[in-house]
Amino acid sequence: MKNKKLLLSLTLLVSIFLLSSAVVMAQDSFTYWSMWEKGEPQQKVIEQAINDFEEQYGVTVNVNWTGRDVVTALKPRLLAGENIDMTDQSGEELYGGLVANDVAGKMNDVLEMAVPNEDGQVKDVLIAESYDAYVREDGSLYIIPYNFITSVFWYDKVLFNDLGIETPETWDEFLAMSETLKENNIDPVAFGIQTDVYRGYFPYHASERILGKNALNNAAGDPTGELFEDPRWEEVGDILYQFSKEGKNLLMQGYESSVYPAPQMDWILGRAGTFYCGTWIPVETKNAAGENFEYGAFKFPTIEGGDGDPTAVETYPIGFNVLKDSENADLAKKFVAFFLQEKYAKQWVEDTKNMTPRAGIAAPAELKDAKALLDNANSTFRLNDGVQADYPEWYANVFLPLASDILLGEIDGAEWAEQMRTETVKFWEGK
Amino acid sequence: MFIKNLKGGQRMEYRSDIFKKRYKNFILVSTIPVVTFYVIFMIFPIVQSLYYSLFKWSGFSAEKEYIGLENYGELIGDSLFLETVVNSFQYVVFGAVIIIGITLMFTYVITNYKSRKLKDLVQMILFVPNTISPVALALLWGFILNTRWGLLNGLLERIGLGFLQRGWLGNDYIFGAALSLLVWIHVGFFIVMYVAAADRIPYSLYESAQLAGASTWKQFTKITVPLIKDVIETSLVLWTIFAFKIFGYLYVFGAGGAGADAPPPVRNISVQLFLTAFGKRTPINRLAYASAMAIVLLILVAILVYVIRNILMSAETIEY
Repeated sequence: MKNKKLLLSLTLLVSIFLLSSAVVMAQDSFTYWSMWEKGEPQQKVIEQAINDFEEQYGVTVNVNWTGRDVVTALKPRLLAGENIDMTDQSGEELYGGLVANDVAGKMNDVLEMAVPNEDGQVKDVLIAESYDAYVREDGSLYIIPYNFITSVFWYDKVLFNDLGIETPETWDEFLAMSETLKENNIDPVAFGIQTDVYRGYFPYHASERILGKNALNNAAGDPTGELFEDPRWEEVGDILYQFSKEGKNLLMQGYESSVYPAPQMDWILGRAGTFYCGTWIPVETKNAAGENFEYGAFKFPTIEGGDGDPTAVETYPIGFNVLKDSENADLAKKFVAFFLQEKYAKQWVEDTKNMTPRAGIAAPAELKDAKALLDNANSTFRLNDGVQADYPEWYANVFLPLASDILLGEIDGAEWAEQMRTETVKFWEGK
Repeated sequence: MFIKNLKGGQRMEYRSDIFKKRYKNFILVSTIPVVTFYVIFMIFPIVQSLYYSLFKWSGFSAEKEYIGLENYGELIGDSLFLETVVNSFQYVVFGAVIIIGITLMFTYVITNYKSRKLKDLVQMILFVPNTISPVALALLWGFILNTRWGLLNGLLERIGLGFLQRGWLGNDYIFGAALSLLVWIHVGFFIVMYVAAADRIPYSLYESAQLAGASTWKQFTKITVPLIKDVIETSLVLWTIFAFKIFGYLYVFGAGGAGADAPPPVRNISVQLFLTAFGKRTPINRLAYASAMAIVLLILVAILVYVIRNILMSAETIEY
């Protein structure tokens, strides 16, 4: 009888222990699948913050340093019912992959959270331009950025000074700059048409300047094609045609077969005067830059008569999303707020040479001009005006092939505008 | 009936019959695991793909919407998919002609080497690309063919053939550039097969030809090629399958290593299928639609292999 009681008590104790452990484990840990790989400077900064977070709150963060294909890697895991609480990627990939498929969780409440160990809330410390282009019409936000990227024309300040070139503000000034570079046997713009991201830059920037924010996105989603009947699309086409070898020949020789990383190397080695790309470029090209090379940046020129905001620049944030079905969403969101502390934002800038979306922190010297453009912008727009995420098949089937055709000079502005319309109608008819 | 009274082929058949009868149960039991694995990992996924192809489904959750054959209807008007179908057929046809042609030339050269060591060394060198990661090779090939600072254009310039320089990675040449990568890899693979097949031909046949005054080329075309015909035909079937399903090389080639999607002119159906199912930079994520592509791929390969095996391949058995 005594033994029986002892056994019963022991069983009860063990059960209570196991149950409480399970509850503690479930409450005090979360799983994070990251876009960074072990050893990258970005990974090291996040890992440091995770260690501090674990120590401060006595919790565990289970991290999988997956790499850039993290959204693809998540798919089978989520399908199998595995709980993954948080991930990170660029806004376009999060919205195109997770938001479009109703897997992402809303992050609006994080904006209202206090930043641990500081006085303010997240919304007070984050620059609104870093995420406002990603706020949906119903007010939903699915990303809290921790890395702030934009795309600009890069140039060497020393070279421009030597040649007496002022950075252009308008399209005419841009053409004048190109002429001066050509006179000095320098191709105006480093470019490679086979790399999708490069190919898309000019069509959507020209459309932002001429028709304004969301014009491309709206037209892409219009099955009737009527939005492409606006005559201003022909103006966009004319600008693109001028870039081509059949137009004003602004792109570097051999651009029709140039593939990453050739264009940026051509630019950094002085074969081209400018290069349009994201703010990651100084990190990628620094080792090849000459001793006197000084990074400068200017925005895509304004176009006379254009309806777009002339100060607008692209915003391409990288940030966190806590998934909709996360079992530990509160803890994961607490970490998001934790990571936005000033000390980590400073470390991010210092170690990764990127910009932070946190207000009041200077950008690395190489990104000073780009940061000034962002600070002076009255509005921002998404990479590819959001069509890559919102209409990925249209982007692949219509936008990119026609971008290729016009930038190669195979069609002119009027033909481009007309084909954008007809191909869009055809695309939607096939759906 | 005594086995010694039977001729070569009949004798083999007789022995095989005895073996089959005696070990019938053993064969049955031994086959079960293989068949089970085959059903689980080959047949079941095919049936599953067929099932999924009838839905609208991203693959992120279990929720699916039944849409019947709509995915197949959409494929007919999908210009990007149709481009990859054409590319796949071009890989099959041009690849077969070039690879088998070059492999036969190398086989001719290698089989005429007197030294066994030299024979092995040359085969080994040609086979090496098959032992290296496809991603590494595709990137390397891209760097070699780079217009501005690639090895090929640099070499052409150095040897006074600068007029032959081209933008190899541009739309006009990129398919050929990708095909040349596949040729480089697969020639080494098929050479090992061809030379092994040529080695089993009795030397007495060559001796007779030599006594009759036949040149080495004549010996190759009249003895070697006809007697390794079965291997050539098998290589044709293998290449057809490879050309449709080859993935790593074409997924990376021309994308430049920046995480970008492979350019459409180099994609075959397998690459397009993956990009449609899982996205990459372009988040398409249409798993069910990609399943329909997989079924079309399966049907195309099955038809081609059937045609090659039943129409092009000879039924005769080679005996020495």
